[in-house]
Amino acid sequence: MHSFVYFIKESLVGFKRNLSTALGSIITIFLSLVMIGVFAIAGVVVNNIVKSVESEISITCYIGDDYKAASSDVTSFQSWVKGLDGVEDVTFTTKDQALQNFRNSVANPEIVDQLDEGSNPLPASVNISLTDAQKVTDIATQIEGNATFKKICDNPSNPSDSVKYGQKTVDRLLSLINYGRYIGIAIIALLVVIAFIFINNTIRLAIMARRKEISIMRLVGASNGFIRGPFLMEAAIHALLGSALAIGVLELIRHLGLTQLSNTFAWLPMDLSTVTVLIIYAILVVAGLLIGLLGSAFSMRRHLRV
Amino acid sequence: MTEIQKANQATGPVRKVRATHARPAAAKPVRSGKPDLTSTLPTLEASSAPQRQGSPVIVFDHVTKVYPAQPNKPALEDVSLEIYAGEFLFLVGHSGSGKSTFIKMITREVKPTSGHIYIANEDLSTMRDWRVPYLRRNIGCVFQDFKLLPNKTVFENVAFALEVIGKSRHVIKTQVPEVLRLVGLQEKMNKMPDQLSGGEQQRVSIARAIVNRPPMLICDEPTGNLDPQTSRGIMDLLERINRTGTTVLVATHDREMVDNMRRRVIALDRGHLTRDQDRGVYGFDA
Repeated sequence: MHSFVYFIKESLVGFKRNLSTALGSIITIFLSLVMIGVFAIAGVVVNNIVKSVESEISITCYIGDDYKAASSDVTSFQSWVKGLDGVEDVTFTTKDQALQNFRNSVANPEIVDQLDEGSNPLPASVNISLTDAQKVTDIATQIEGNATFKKICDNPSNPSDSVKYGQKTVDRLLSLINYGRYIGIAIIALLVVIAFIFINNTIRLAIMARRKEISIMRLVGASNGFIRGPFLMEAAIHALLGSALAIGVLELIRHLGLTQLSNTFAWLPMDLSTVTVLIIYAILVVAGLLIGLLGSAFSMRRHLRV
Repeated sequence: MTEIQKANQATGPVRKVRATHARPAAAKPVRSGKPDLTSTLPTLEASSAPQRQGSPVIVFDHVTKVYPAQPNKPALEDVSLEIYAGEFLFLVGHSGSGKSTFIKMITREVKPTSGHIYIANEDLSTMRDWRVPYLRRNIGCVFQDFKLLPNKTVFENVAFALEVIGKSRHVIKTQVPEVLRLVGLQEKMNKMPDQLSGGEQQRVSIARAIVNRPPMLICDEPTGNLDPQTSRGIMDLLERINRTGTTVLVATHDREMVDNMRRRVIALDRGHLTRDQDRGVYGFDA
């Protein structure tokens, strides 16, 4: 306890002594934590959006017009699909239902009535909803290869033409998200390295300023832990100040920026739960402390060799 | 009985240095071409001869140190000797003779290239790094340049030594004034080091070295920066500390001091132990 007070006292002295470098390391920690925080929050938001998009991903298999004749094939196909891994539910849409759906979805239903009496260009379909959107391509391929499906599908010469799942959109979205993730990680890594170097420098200067004290401490037999204490404390203070600033800025971004965004894109789910935000902030504080303590421990290693 | 003790009994005050067969020059107890030093000096009463009891506190066992920068010129070569509790020793030799290396080995700032150093029966070469600070708490150190912190008062400088080994405020408040009284600086407790004379600063540094009551005190040219009269004062102080039972090792160039005090003298010359003599003299040409 006594030495803890001593560490705090000494670290504050060190803080005053190298104010500019201390500010430098605080600012780099702050910046890297803000970046980490922005990416973490953006990650959570994007994840939510992806989830909501994914939940809408489904596969539509178009069935040939003579399905009534092959109803047993259709039924067995349906039950086979239902047994596939990642499939949530399978429903059947008849030609009439398809026409009805179309009539409901278009702005001017009269054009449907313009069609020749009795003719219905829309095919019947089997609609598959999924539990795991990542498996959409896999399931679609299996369906295309299915023998029963080849028989009953709308276009028997090319079964894959009868399976639709908006794969281009899905693929593009997923790869975009992945690119974003890699770039984010690279930027964060760079900032962490910079923060590390800054902390290293700050602590090295603090050590230089106190070289004489350290040599006397070693002379009279102060343990390495005791010599290290004030410097680690100094780095911890920098880290805490940096993360407090970062959290402040992130709160600002969350309250102003994110609200603005979700107003503009009301159709995207952008709400963050308080728990998620608190977890992110806790991670930031821990990351800041790790950067600070490791950085200073690293720069001290050489000076503490007995 | 050790070899040295046997030799001691047989030959009297001049102790035989352990012979190194590889280097006969190193084994000469007294420099050649000079008469036996003891015969030219006034004899002392037998009662004042140092008493050695028990096992030695410090043992150098064929210690050699070669610095990587000078692989062909060992800083110390095949040095063997024993130091007993309560002794007062002078370590003499020219610059570059290995005195500093010798001292740094006792505080384990330097490890021997070969050979072993034992302090209180513990081998320093196998001592774990984390134990070194605890070794140093038992060895007070005083240097020519005092090594005081200029931004701390006399009291704070001495207190610092206790503070950093985790002593309580109560211990600090009682021990620091006590040790400052011992070195005669009780009036100057709140002065800054630059307000003191050189001799006073050295007293502060001695106070700092002994405030933790270590059993051993090592002084590296403690009077190197001081005038003769002040030096005598410092030596008196060291002698008083020695009388309380502290082992005192003084590395010095101060011929007059060594010749006047007639204590055990260890002479180093270019890394070799050339003389180990009770009630010895400085013995080098000026």
